[in-house]
Amino acid sequence: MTTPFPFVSGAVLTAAQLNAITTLPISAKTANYTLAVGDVGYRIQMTSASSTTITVNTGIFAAGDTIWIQNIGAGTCTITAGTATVGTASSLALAQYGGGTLVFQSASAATFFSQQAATYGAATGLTGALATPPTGYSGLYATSDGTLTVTRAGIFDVLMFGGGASGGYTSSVVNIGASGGGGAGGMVSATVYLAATTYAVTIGAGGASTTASLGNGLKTSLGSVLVAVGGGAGYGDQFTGLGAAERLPAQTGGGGGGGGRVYNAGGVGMQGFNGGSQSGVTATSAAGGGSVSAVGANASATTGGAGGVGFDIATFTGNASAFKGAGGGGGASVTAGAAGSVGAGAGSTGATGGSASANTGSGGGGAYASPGTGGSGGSGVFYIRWKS
Amino acid sequence: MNNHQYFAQLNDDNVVIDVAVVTYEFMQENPERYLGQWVETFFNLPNKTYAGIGMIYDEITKDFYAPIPTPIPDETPNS
Repeated sequence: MTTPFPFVSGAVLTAAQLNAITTLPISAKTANYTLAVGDVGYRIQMTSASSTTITVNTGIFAAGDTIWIQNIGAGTCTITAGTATVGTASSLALAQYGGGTLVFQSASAATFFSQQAATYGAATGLTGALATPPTGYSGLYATSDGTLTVTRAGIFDVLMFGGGASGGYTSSVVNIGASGGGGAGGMVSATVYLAATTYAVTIGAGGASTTASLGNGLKTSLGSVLVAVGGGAGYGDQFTGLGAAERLPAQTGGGGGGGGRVYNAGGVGMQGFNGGSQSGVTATSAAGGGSVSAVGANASATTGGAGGVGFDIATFTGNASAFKGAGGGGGASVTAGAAGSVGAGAGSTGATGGSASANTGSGGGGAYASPGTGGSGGSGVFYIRWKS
Repeated sequence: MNNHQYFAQLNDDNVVIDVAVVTYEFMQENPERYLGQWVETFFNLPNKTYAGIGMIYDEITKDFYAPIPTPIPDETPNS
């Protein structure tokens, strides 16, 4: 039932027509269309499979006039400012089943109040395309700095990891000491709206260690929209043997670094979990680094703590199982801590902790030697996908 | 997948202030993103130190070395 519209003088309406007065009449369109005064109070319904426009001109409508616009066709229907101005807080490009209300403030200005559900966008650029994205999705990845070009504004799913941190150093000239495992880079998993423009994607480098330094991981970022912080480095044992002040505690980061004999506590995880702790003053073990999924394991006696397990990206990327953002293992005199996952650095009973693999966002392993070097953290990685 | 490179940004004292994971070609194409002096560093290459922030670049050896670590003043060790 559709109520006759507009009413005319002398018209007689039935009860059913009066009850249906809230059901606005439809004015179907199959091609580009310019709004006319007779469209006020109607639903303009575009049905084209091709891209179309609905043009708004000045001098036709009065303040308060309202027109509903719906696109049920497969082609994008774009509300286009002809000689009038059209403002909106969303998009004037209506995907299929998108729509909203066009309200005139004056004869020359209107505002479109969108009621369409958020739709996925599309993009190009970066290192390459996801090889086997989940059914219904397309996506890109970046293993180094790049530019993301959003070709269609909309929402995107993003998964990104900051650079992993190094394991700690062990530089005593007096005592052999164990150093902690490096923390993972932080993980950010988010769905965001991106406008149709370019975005700088920066991949965070992994932290570096020498026999006298440790290194936090660096951040991975999507323009000014999202940031995954770098991991926190593991505990570094004394440098010259002259005192505790020359040791460095486990660092704060995405995942925290593993603690050691003097500074027992693990580092704090900001976008992940804390590093493990060292329970006493023994120099013979250090804890594992925190990951994006779990705390690093504590160290005990002569056994280093394992790093926290990483996050499996397979569900997001559609690729085979692969873990990112794992913690590095702590160094120890007898049994070093294991890497949290494949690709992270294992702790060592020798002079060099294991390094994490590139683009894992995982931490490096700690060492046990004098002097000794923590393994390097793995650089970060960036994934983005959308429904295609 | 891992054909990228690593470059370290130096300040006027040859101290590393940033490390980028980037191809040389991309740096050349986007100079506005890589202002200042950058030198290549190598990840896990024998006989080369992978650069970290705070390390110092030696122009003779073309390698990086670490400064003496600076303790965190507010930290009190457990023992």
